[in-house]
Amino acid sequence: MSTDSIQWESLGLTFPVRRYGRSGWMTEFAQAPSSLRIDDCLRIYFSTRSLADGAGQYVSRTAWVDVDPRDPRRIIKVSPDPVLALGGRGDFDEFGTYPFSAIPFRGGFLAAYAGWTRLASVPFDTSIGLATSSTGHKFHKVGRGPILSASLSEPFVLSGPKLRMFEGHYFLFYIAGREWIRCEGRPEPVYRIRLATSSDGFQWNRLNRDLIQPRLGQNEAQASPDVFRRGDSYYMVFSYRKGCNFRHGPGAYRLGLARSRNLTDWDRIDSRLGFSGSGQEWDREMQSYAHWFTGDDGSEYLAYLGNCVGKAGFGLARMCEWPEGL
Amino acid sequence: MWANEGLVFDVSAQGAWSDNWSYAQAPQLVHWKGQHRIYFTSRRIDEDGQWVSEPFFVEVRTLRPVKPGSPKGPLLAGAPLGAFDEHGVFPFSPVVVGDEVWAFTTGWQRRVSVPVETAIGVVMSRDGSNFSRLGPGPVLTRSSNEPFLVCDGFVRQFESGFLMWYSFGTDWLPETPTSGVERVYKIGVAVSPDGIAWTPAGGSQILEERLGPLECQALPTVVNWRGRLLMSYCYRSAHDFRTNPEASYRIGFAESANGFDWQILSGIEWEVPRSDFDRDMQAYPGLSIVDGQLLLLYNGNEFGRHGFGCARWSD
Repeated sequence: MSTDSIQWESLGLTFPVRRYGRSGWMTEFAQAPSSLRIDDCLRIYFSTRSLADGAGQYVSRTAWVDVDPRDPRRIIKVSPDPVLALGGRGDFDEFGTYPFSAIPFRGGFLAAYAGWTRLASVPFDTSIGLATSSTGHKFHKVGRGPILSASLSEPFVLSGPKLRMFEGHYFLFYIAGREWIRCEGRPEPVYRIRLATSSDGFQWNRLNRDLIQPRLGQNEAQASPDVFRRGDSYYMVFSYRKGCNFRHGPGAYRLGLARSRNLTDWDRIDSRLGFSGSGQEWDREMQSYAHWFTGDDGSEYLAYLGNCVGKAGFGLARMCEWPEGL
Repeated sequence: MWANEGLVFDVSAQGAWSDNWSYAQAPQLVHWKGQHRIYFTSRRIDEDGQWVSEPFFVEVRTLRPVKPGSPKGPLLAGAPLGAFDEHGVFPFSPVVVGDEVWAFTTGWQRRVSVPVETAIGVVMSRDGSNFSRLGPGPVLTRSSNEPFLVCDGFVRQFESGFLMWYSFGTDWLPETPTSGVERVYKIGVAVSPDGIAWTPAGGSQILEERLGPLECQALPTVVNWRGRLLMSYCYRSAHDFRTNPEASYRIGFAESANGFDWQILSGIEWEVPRSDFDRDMQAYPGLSIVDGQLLLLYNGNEFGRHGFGCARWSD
């Protein structure tokens, strides 16, 4: 690792979801971790699944785990139920709610989530909905339909929402599909990171352009745009993979890094992230969906996913050093 | 009152074209560069044995009576994989904007738990014959208070911007012993400064029902008529409407001073008398004004499987 890059200490697979499974709906996967401080609690929301159905298809539901804010490896409590109900027949979120991101909002909490539906020609489509909660335990949809769905230049697969509030303004980082390509006959989506902004959390304006330049060619797919502020700049940890041959091997998800002064113009600086996994088996093949958060002792962490995009759960890395001038 | 002039475009009388195409749905007349054209969509069977609708037009040589030429098209290339209109376009609603012809399309996409989803797109043309998409995605689709089935967009330009009248779904009704899932949809109005960026109706329907809360309202078209806006549309029951003439589509009319507040018109003079081609159903009306008088193009039995006909207004 270059000394120009961030230094990390791996803490391993700290939330092995199978150990905490609940009544079938939480059997495998703990995906897209995103945190929220609620009083003394450090709550990490994640999306989980029951076993696949006969056709190999899943339904994702969102849950949470409360961890110790002084040592996030320690599990305190797991949600007894999903935080959000699925949509009804024909609704945009009938077949799943994943990922999920919540922020404090007007004395309660506002969340953005991707709703899943199933198609005849390609396996799925997603759009982004909003939900609110007063406590952070259970959320309720705002309106029956999505707040962000397909548009002229974003034809499908609107997903990966991450809500932020900076300087009194709301930011929704998300991904938008560009194309369904065929990988040995099988359709796979290509998607890129984008941004919408709002002054009230409900009316959103899209920037309508990609934020992060691809490095792997025009079929690079990007996910999980996790933005945090540090000093004078903003940083984004995100995931990227090849368009085809990405379930194993060199095309699989890796973590990238970008920096911005204004949240709309980003420089991609992947080599400075300095993290490519723990070296253990559970994240040997890929690392993705990283989420930056701080602990009560001032430590900075990444929660992230390993093999099979979080099938076994999520793990942690703790920052040891932030290089000068980054 | 209306006089029924019968079937004017017969699908089976189009020579070799009829081998591959049937239906001629949602006919809409455009007057552009000295010509009259009627745009509509027809269906073919695809490799999976399913219907796919594509847009065509006919030139109209005379208007009294309406005598269409032979069909030209399809007017639009196929959609990319996974796009909102990958399984066809119906209806195809043309509008002259400046020196171009645009069309607002309803894209169809087959689903799994419900049969289909729809959204509205826009395509543009300089010659009225070759249309291309402005982008791969729709300009109006599901939103917070319009959860699915956004369709049947009809657009006109006014001094202050553009208005679109369209339908949006409100419910998918569960299966019954005698039917699969059925949809319910209502007509609303959206606004735009440029015809491309649209603000939806937000779940507000603009027409009161004649058949009760499960009435389905579709295919609004609007003309400027004697100082008011006049709309034709079709409406039906949510159930049993495919083969039961009591429940199937009928044509309704409504009027408005401003495009937003509408009163439905009841009265015997607004009923379109039946003939053979529309004995069991009158659907997908397209209202226009020719020589200062109202002309209604529309589909009859079997949702326009055999072609389209017209009715003409006289005072």
